[in-house]
Amino acid sequence: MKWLAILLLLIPFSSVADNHTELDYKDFMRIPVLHEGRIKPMDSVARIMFKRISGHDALPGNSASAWFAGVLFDPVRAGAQKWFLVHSPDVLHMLSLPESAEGTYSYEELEGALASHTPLLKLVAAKDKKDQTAADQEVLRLFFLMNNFAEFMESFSLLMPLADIDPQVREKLGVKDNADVTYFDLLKIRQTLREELKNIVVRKQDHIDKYSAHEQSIASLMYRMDLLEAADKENALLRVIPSSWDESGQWFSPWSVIEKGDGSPASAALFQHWHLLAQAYLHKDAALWKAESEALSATPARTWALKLEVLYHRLNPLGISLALYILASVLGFVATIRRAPAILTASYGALLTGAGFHAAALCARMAILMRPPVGTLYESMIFVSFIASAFGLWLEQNKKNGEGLIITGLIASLLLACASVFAADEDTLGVLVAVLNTRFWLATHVVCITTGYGASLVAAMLAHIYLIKRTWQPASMLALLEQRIYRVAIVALFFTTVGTMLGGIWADQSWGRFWGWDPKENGALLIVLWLIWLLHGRVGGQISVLGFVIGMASLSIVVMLAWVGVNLLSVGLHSYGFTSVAANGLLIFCTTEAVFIVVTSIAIYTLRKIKHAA
Amino acid sequence: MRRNVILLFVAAVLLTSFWMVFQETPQTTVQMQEAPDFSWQGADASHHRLSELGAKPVVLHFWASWCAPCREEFPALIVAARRNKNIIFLTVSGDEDGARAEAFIHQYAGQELPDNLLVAVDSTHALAFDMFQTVQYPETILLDSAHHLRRKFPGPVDWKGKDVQDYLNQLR
Repeated sequence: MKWLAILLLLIPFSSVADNHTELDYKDFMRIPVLHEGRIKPMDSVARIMFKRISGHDALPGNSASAWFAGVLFDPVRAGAQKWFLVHSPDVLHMLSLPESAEGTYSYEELEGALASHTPLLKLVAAKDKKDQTAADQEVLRLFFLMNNFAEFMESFSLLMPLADIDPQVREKLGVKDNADVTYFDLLKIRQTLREELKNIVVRKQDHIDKYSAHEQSIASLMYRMDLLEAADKENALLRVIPSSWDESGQWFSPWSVIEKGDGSPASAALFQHWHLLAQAYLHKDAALWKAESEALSATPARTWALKLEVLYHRLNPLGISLALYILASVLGFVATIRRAPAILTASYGALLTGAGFHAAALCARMAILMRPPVGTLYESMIFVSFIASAFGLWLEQNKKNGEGLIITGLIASLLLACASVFAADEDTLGVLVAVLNTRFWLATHVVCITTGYGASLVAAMLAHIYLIKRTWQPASMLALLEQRIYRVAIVALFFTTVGTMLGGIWADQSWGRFWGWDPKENGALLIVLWLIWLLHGRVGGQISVLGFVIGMASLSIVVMLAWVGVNLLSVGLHSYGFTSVAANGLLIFCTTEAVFIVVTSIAIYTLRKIKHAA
Repeated sequence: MRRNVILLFVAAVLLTSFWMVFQETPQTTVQMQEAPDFSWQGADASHHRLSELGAKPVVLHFWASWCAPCREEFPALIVAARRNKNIIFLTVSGDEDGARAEAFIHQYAGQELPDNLLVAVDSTHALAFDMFQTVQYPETILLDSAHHLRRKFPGPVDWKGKDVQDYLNQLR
């Protein structure tokens, strides 16, 4: 078993203590890594891995980076700790694992369970994706996650100290008796060791009992080197060494540098830093740790962006915005009921501050990713949320009655909360698929169309307020509100129409046709047609005020179906956005909205009839 | 004032978005590195430095007499050295015994080595392993006349091939 082999090699050098809090991870967090197509700080890789494994953002009282340093430099301890969250009873049953109170298991436990169920795993992997059960998919996810974890644990195995090094070997290497000797150090004299072993075998064949202590030590060392090489030479996940030769900007893992012969004076210097960093971790040398992590974080490639990304994750500005939006809508609601101007001002302040953090978060994301803010469903959610909050502030500016604060606080906070559902595989700063990676169109078409979505949702929510108020107020008192719905609808129509046309031009450039009746295109057109129908009907007098408002309230369903719903159909060219995560949420949303609109409409008509009868 | 703040937020996001359109993709491409001014010991125990070679391109070739691909490659390397007189071919031997390296060179080069082919003895692997991180022999690194690291060939090189010759011509 691969894990046991590595364990045997590295166990004597497991870290000397549990507590690594005295090590300063500030610079370690900023060390650049090429991970999943993008250069990101070590902290981001740590957060992504920890979230995938444990379902949490960080350990209580410790950072994800500190946890990840343990995985990289103290793999024996990391492998024994219970981080892996397995919540499905079916998975536990499939792998014959005992239930645990916390629902977490160690790598060692899971590795053993998976190894003893290899035929089952093969069977599950061979299944067509649509035939796989939820438990099948969870088992496969666990399998791939563990493979990644194992690769990270063994990333630096070539720089980790080996036990029982013969004094003569130390002498050949020119190292002191107490100095650490690694696989990488031994590579330097591998030919000499190989020749020595060859001579031993020629003289004594494989009668190990006849070998002297030194000869046994040489044989054991060569065996361990071969074992380590066989286990880890394909290890390529932790790409921390920029190639000095590859013109495509490739980065390599330490093992890959050796395997591909990509070494250079620059990589030699980086190896030395990593070697010392590993030593500092194992020997708890805080000063050496600080010096080496500082040196490694100073390696090239947009240092400011790496710092910004670490700061972005630490501050979590979108989390702050979410809290402030919720606060704004609650205060706005209280202010409206109690008619308290001071609370209204506080609500406005909360929404404004929330929008400020939101804007800062969007700018930071753009600076980190070097592209416009909308490329994935997650990003479109947080962008639409921002547009909604800006609209709310603008509405409240014009009429200071709390309406804008309540509805946009609600929309913005709901969208931000829903965005986490679309966070692609725990990495919200992911790289886009090639077809989307066109900055001009992202900045024009996508920004335009999502601004249209935002305006549409604000108009729809205003229409909701109208319907609620209409149950007890006459239409004449709500004329101003209806006017505002009309104006916001015009803004929404403008952006969705321009956005849809720009999308056609982009499609013409990318796919060679302006329009292809793709579900996403049909969805965008549906919003445009819905708005045109309602606005023309209203202007021409064919639709009553109440009919117009009911239509506008239903716009939220149309927008959500066009925006999120079409991604559930799993057909069409816009395959980058397909997800099955939101199906239930969307169904609940549409049903709730439909029920709300029907109930309030019936209530309004019934009350009107009663009033007329009276 | 409040309206201005709202506009400021929206403008910040939209302007940053459009600014991104005109930004170049973050590059992680290779930055040309200068070779360290290393020193070496010749087969005759004389000491030299890279800077002493002047503004000439250098072919830095790591080899060892026990390495089979090196033995196969070496005759063609010598021919390439004879053909490219303006390029220094600095061959770094990883043999622990300098005499073995010298014997090997003369075996392949005949009695006389080309003037532009130098032999360095790197018995401690300080040059190959510690400085250039050469783990497997043979390996070749091309330096331009300013001694910048330009290209690396892990493994044997086809010295008769057009690719290498074209590159050597560019180095001149």
